[in-house]
Amino acid sequence: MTRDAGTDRAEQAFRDAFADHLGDPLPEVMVGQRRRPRRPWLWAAVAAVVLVVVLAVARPGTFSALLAPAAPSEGQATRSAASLPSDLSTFPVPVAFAALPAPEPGWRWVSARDVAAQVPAAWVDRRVTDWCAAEVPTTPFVDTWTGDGNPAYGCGKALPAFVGVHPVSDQTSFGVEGPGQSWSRDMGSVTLSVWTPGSTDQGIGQKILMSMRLITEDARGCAVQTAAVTSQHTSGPTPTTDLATLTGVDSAVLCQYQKGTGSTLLTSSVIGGQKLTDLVSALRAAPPEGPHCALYYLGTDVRVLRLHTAAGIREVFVYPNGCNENYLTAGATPRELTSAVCQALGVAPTANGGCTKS
Amino acid sequence: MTGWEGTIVRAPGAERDDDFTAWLGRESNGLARFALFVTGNRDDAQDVLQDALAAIHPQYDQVAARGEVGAYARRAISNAAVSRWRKGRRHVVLADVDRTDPDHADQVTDSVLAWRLCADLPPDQRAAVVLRFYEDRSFAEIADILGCAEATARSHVHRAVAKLRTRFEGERP
Repeated sequence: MTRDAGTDRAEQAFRDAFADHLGDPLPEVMVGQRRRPRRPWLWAAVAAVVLVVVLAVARPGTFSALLAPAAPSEGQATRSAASLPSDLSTFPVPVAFAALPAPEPGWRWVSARDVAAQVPAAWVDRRVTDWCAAEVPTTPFVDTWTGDGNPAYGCGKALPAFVGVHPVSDQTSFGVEGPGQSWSRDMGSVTLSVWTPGSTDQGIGQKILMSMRLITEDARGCAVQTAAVTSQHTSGPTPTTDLATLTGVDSAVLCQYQKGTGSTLLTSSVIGGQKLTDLVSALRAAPPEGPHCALYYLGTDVRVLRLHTAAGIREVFVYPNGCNENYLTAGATPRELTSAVCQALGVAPTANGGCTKS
Repeated sequence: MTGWEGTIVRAPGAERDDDFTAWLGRESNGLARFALFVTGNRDDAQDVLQDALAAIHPQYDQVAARGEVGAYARRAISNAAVSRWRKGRRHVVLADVDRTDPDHADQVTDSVLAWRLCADLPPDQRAAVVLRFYEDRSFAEIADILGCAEATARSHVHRAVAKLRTRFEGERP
């Protein structure tokens, strides 16, 4: 048997296999309906939780006692899953962050990627870059890190209550000293994790997880998903903008996306002051881009610059790490991603040509 | 506290709802079939299909304006399948497993071996196979849908084909 013949046979086998299964029953397409329960016991679990909440409302003070996990032994952190399984979260109505209902008194909304949740207002935003660092937060906080990686919270230190977030595909671990409880719940593209030390009301963890909502855009107006991430398009955003004559930009927001699994919003930031002035100048000066390589492969780092102008919001798609020719576009004509633009955007140079043109 | 009972997806405008509904009416069978072949069983297919539609709905207008809804939907389904696979849900629903009497192993056809192999492939590789051999897509189209380089799309398909050839040799020495 020759190699070609073998390959043809294999290819034909795949075609035949799919043809053989054309008669298999198709899954139901249920738009706007609750996913049917695959494990009936989940609904019993939900009913139990609802009952507990009802009891807590009827008898103030019992909420924590009934929902709190068993107290771990001294010096040993334990972990349990959230009481509401992620299967039940399939179809909450996604809304813009600005359209979320008012938070409970003493609480506030925070968001990461495509999910928002309520946290106690007293918990401050902190970026913990090194959990093993000598100085770690001593008061409750919200870890604002939204990037990739398998977070190992704690590094064996005692920590106050906190919320962390990471992609669902990553694994998390808690190495927090002292008694307490960790909670986590998957929704959308993220896993939200909460640590509550023994001195904290253990009901807070579940309350945070139960408040999780899918969102369509974050607090700065960045859509959690964008057509800029879909590949093989050359037209850019609409309406188009002539960057060479760009004027009247009042403010700008940079939305950063990660193309790949989920392809959702990673983070966003506001560009103002001198940086905004420099950015507008750099955009105006960016020359048209020559022929670039594979249009269908735009790299994994996709950014959308939202320029607030008198004429409304104008978008610029920025592709800083494509295969070998990186560019930006505010319309049909790609423009060079010059070092001046990259500097204004805070985009680091890449090895394959991006952000290296002057 | 917000609740979980908001189970109806509503678009801001009825017109978009109509467009989305019309598109889904045209494409639902194809998407459902794609989801079924990528996941290998009806339960997982329904899950990834709903996840994908929930992701598409809020931005349907934007994606539709570019004429990319079909590709976008298939990518969303593939991504959802990959996500579920990475979370360790690589179980096989017994009802969907092909049963072959071991006493009649010599009757196992090439297509049965191919179908069985699909169940063992990583979902991105499996999606590439479905797109190539069920939907007859070019490698450039597969790369576009899966959000990868064309070389990667080719690699997915070629590896799957190579695995099947190996199984042929193992089944029929």
